[in-house]
Amino acid sequence: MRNHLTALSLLLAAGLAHAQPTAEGLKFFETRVRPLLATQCQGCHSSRGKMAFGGLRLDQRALFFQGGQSGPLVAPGKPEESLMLKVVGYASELKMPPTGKLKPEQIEALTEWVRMGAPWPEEAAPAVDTGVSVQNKAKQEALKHWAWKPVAMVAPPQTRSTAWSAAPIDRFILAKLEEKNLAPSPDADKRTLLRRAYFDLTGLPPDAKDVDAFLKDSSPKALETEVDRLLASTAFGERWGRHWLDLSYFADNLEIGRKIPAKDAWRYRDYVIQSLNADKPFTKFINEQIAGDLLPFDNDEQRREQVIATGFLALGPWALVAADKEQLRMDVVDMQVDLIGKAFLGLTVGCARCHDHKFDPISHKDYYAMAGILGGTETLHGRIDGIFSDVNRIQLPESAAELRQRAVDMEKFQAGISALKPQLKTLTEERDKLKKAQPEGEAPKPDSPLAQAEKALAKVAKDLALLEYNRPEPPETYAVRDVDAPVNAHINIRGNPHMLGEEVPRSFLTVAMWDKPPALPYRASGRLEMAAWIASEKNPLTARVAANRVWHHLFGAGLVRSVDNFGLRGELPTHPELLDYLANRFVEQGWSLKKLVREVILSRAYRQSSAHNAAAYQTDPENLLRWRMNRRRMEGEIIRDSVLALTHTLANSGGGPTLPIDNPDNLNLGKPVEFRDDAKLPEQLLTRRTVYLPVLRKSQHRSVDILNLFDFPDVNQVNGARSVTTVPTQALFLMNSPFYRDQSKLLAARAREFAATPEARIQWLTEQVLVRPARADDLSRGQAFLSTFAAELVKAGRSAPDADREAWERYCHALLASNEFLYIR
Amino acid sequence: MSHHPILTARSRRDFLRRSACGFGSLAFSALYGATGAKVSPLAPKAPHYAPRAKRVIFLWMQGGPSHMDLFDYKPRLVKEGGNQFPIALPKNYEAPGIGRNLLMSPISTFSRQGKAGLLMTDMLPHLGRMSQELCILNGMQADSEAHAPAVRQLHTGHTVMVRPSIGSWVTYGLGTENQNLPGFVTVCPQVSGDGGSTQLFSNAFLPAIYQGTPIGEAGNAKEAQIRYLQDKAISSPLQRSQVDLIQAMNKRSLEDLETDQNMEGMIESFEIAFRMQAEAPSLLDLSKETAATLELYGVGEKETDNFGRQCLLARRMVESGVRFVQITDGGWDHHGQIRKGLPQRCKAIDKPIAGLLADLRSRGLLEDTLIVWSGEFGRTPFEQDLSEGKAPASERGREHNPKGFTAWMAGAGIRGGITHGMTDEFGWEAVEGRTHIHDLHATVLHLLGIDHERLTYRYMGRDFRLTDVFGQVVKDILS
Repeated sequence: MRNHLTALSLLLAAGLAHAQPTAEGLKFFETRVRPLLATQCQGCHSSRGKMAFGGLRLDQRALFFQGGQSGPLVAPGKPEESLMLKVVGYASELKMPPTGKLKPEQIEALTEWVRMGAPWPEEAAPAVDTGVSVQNKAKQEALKHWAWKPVAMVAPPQTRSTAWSAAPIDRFILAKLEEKNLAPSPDADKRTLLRRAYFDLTGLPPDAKDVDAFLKDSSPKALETEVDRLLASTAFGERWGRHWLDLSYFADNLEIGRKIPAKDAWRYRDYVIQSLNADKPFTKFINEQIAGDLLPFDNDEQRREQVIATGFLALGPWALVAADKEQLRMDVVDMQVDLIGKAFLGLTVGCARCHDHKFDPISHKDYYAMAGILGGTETLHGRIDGIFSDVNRIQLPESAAELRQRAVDMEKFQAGISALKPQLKTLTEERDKLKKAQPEGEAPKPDSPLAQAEKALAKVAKDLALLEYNRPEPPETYAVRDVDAPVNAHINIRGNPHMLGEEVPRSFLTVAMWDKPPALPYRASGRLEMAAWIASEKNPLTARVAANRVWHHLFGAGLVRSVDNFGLRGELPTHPELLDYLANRFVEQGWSLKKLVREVILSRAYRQSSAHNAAAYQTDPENLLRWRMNRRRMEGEIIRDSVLALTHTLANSGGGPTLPIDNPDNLNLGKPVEFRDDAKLPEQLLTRRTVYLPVLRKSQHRSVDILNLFDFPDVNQVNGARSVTTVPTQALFLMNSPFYRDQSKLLAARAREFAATPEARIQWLTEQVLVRPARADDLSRGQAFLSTFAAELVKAGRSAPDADREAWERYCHALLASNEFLYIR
Repeated sequence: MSHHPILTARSRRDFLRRSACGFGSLAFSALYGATGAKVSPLAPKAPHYAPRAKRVIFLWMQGGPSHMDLFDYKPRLVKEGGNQFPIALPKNYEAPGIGRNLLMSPISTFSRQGKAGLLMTDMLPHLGRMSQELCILNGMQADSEAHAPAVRQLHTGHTVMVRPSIGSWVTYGLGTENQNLPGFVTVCPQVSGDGGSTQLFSNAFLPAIYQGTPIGEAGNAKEAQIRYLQDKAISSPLQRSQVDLIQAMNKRSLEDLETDQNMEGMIESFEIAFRMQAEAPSLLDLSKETAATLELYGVGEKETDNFGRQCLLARRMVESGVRFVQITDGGWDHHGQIRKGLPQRCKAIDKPIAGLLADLRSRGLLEDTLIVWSGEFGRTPFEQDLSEGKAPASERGREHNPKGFTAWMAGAGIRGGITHGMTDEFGWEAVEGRTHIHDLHATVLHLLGIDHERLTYRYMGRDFRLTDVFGQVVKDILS
């Protein structure tokens, strides 16, 4: 309110003052004020150099009175309301000049000048520096970038050949190939195709029954039938859920550096998997994750789901231990702006925290317009042990079953407490008695009664602390909510939250706006409206970015290869029309991810073999034109899951909590409680799909070390495309890890069970692991290996059956370590 | 024309097919025996001319060390601290907290140090005592003032594109002396954050076998181990036969696919992995080092333990014949608190690096081992105040500066005890003996016996090289 008054009075006063500057006033300005501005201020605040700090230019009349990021400088005639005088008087947060206070007579001159009504002779319209106009030109150019343009309605192009295309997608691909006189590759054989579809849709290998059925089905709809079945399986959500989690900051510990258990983070992970399996419209998926807490609901179940969804914003690499809480709050906001920008819009909005984006037309103001929305959102709330910041939690509506369970748990809990408390008391008394008897200054011997009493006491104290830590509570989840009185953000000058500039109305990115900015409600953060803006079919980015991600996951590279950056520094789409076609189809089909995946996977382009083609390779070595399918190595978790599936170890588990925090050896029960580095994951957990195992913010748990070696991404960043490294440490894992050894034994045991003769076993194993029949060379190579290997062991003194068993285990091990298994072709 | 015609992107499969043995029947290991070593893409290869250096240790100071506070003494900066920087900044120069570009005096005293009497900061006393080994390049230049592109340029020559790392180029060009270890190792690399990325040790379009092998995680040299190094339950010859089986299957499946660089990389990495099992366990085991050696590197002392371990591991690796070793120290990005932060970094590296130089010298390894020390850029002579006047002057720092900074080299083929090149009177821009990152790269390759213009790789129809179309060997610093 005060600001409004000041601005108003400024306008009135300015009008007056400018209308009639007296000759005396002008002389005062020229002799006392202008030189002062020139020598003391214009070094940093000028329209001539590049140094218009704070957006302030003090060398031209109009620009002077316009002020900078902190608002107008002077209220002519009113020294007490003039920001400039506060600043030079060192009476505000902002102190200028930064190198030292002006002399009293200089400040007095400025004050007098303002009192006179700030007389300044008339000038021509402000001259714009040429450097600035060059910049503007670059900005004009930047505005023409393809990604800001509305998604176009495109018809599939005509192609010379018409025999190949099975779907509109194929005509886009074929047209580009024909331009370069290239032809698509022939279809992959049925087994390769089925295996590919299985891994792409579920992350698991087909079993022999599935393969047989598929081979026998000679109808043209065979693949379609199979794809529909896989899309309907829960494994689809487990596979694609992990793709989505790669775009979030999800992990099972709360703090960037410390392993503070995020007890309820699993709810968000399960939400993602279930949403994908339910084929929730992508727009709903967006709305829930950004503003689920604000959405209306019909029942408790819906409320629960929507609140849990906001774990997308609530979980992150927060520095909860940071002392500067305002800095922490803005860092959280910054990470969230970056998260939303990259995950949904494919934009590096975070770059505009300290200045206008260097490449994309995203201004400093745009950034704080979005930051204001997230600033009006509470992500952190309360304290852990009264010291560290805590992530906000929202209590969930408790179901009847949960309530019953809690009653049971509570009884156990009470029983535990009432058993332990008296023990603690007795042991403490005992210890104190023994301590009194101990001579002063002498340490108790290790096996003395006192030392033993101390030990017993420590154990009970620990059990008690663990029990308290796991006290049965009504269900809650990490979630965000609006603050009570949301306000606009001020520009953080140079990204510094303690240096506030101009207030920026909450809004969205100008560059992706198709209409004038919507009015945001006065009493809410604006998240609901931001979600709607992102989840709109008019948003030029959302559908394109999502469709491109689908393509990336099915072809190993996106149509825009920089999947998280659609800005000027990102790559251009190889097939812009196809991308728009897919974006349109996505929207038309109700933003159904499954339908989009289905359409792409049933294209002829997807069915292509991955075989080499020397001529095409010469023209397009990177396969940008998609003249064949890319070969892809399985991700770490997919190798693990597949191996477990092949040995029939994989449990059909579903989700739920998986942090083993009920084991006292897994926790440091200090302040705060932390998950230990050497914590053990219980056996039954290790048979689950990797997506359900705890995810840590630094390196992953040793039980899933395969993730550390096989390029599991940094969970504190948005990773739409994982890197793929090829290094000897991976081969060492495949050769020597206990996981590979143990699983090979299990696989060999299965082979023995299913097939009697060596030939039949090799046949069976090749079908299981490589999804193809064994060839003559497989049989001869395998048998040669088995007999030599077993013979060597016998020579070394092992019994024949024992040697035979190990030879088979080693053979299985080799199959699981082979490229043919590790690559999706 | 390619330096190694056999290793163009046509894939080594063509070559293997042409070579007498092939992979089909013979055990893969036979190809790597003492006589058949030429088949391995990592086998030592003859350089273009007689090399001065056989191996490289690259010490990367992530963040951009402040040259004016370390190696580039500026009397005017001492005198004129607090005055306005008199040189006009480039058009469109924009940086937070620069204010009026007030000069910042060096935060440390300088003195003539060591036998060579080089003028250096007093914050690096141990290194100073080794001054006769150092060739200080005070005229360094790079192209970008932002971390990610500058870091990419330092490692790959290019600011924007994904290109092979210098370590990959070197191992591609020369192979490696010890077939039982990777040719290019990066110890405790940064893989995320300001410019850290797996790209920095990536082979890009070179065959995957030339990728750097990361060992350990940033900041945790104590745990820098290779896991799963051995399977105690199987004898080496038997495991060899198992690996042969894997490789035979891999070769067979590659035949169907004709070419695949990554799968070939997997095949080759299995070979190295198998051979590493014998050698790597002792390589990373520092327990056999004497107390005197550990002390020399500062291992066991709080401030120096982490980098001391990295330096000691680097020495053990080059001693074992690893061609290119990179070690990294993070945290040189002193935008603020330089008076507190820079002395800490100096402390952390001073003794370890001096120890490394002394140890290499006493083992006779310094003669053919090249040491390169550099950040991705330097810092500005004028101060930076990210608090915009809020914090006391003592908490200020300096902004990035690629126009002039310092790197140094030591060891094989380098004239020790000299400085080369200089910046202007303020340390802002290199004015004499300008040495661009490309020149540094060309010089490193030259010392290894490689003509940087002839080490090429044909990809997408054109010959690529580390120095692109740039780079001149800095002849003045060669001994």
